[in-house]
Amino acid sequence: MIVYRNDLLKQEPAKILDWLKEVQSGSQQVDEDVNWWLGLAEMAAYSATTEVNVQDRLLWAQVVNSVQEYTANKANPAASNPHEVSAKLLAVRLIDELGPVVGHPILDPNLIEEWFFKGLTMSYEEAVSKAKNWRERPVEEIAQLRNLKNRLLPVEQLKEKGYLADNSELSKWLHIRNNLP
Amino acid sequence: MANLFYNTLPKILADELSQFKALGVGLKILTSAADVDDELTQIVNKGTIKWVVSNKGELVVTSKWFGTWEVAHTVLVEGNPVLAAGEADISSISSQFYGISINNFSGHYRPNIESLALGKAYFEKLGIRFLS
Repeated sequence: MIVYRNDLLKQEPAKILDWLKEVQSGSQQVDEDVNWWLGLAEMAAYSATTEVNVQDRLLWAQVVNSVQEYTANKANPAASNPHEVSAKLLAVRLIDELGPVVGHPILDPNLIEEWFFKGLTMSYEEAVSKAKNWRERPVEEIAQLRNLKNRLLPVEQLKEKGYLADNSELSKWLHIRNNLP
Repeated sequence: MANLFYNTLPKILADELSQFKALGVGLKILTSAADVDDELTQIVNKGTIKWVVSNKGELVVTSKWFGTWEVAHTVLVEGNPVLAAGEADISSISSQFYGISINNFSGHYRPNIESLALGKAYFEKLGIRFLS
């Protein structure tokens, strides 16, 4: 069965999350066009921002996260994933609006920190060294450095809003953001 | 004759436009090499940008993110159809612009891969070439 986005978005977020689980398990056929997935994520992010019911907002944010995870599994690990930074920025916004909740899949600030470290493709020392002469580096390395710069954005926002515990390791990374291409 | 791509999420356009007006999202229209300036340097060095080629044939860009908000492509052209749309990463140093990557990603307009060549051509006319 092929599911079209317009039909899908008429569903409640909990049902869409169930459908996404089926997609991830391979029991549902879907449109593989990345722009189809982006459209779903953008609509879900809009609902996560505008819905009145807080639980629905959080479920929509989980839809955004699930889409990001699904597409990340298919993406080239060296390439920038089009959804993940946006999904984490949405989480920061919801943490700021609704308050942090440790252990919650969206509202736990620690998850953003974990996501950042898990996605690192180079050590801090390598990043510092490569940033110094990035114009002379192969394009793949320049793209990795730019990806790192983008991934630091949610962490920076979290820190600016005061939801990041003192963490010298993260502060170190944030300090080099402006040196990255 | 190039294809036109239409906003596939028109119901949320009014909210998107008012939301991003309130945020003070700055757009930049790039019509000649003279527009490749310090203002563009600031935009591209913040991170990923969103770009469109409007139905008037203008290249319009903005930062992808403002604070924790992602800018919708529709905001760049007030929801009008586009000839091409996508995202790009460009870095600028010492008045030189390095095109790192460019794609046709847009959930609102869903442009096809063929339209990407048009976007690249518009950037190249301004002297911005993509490394990959």
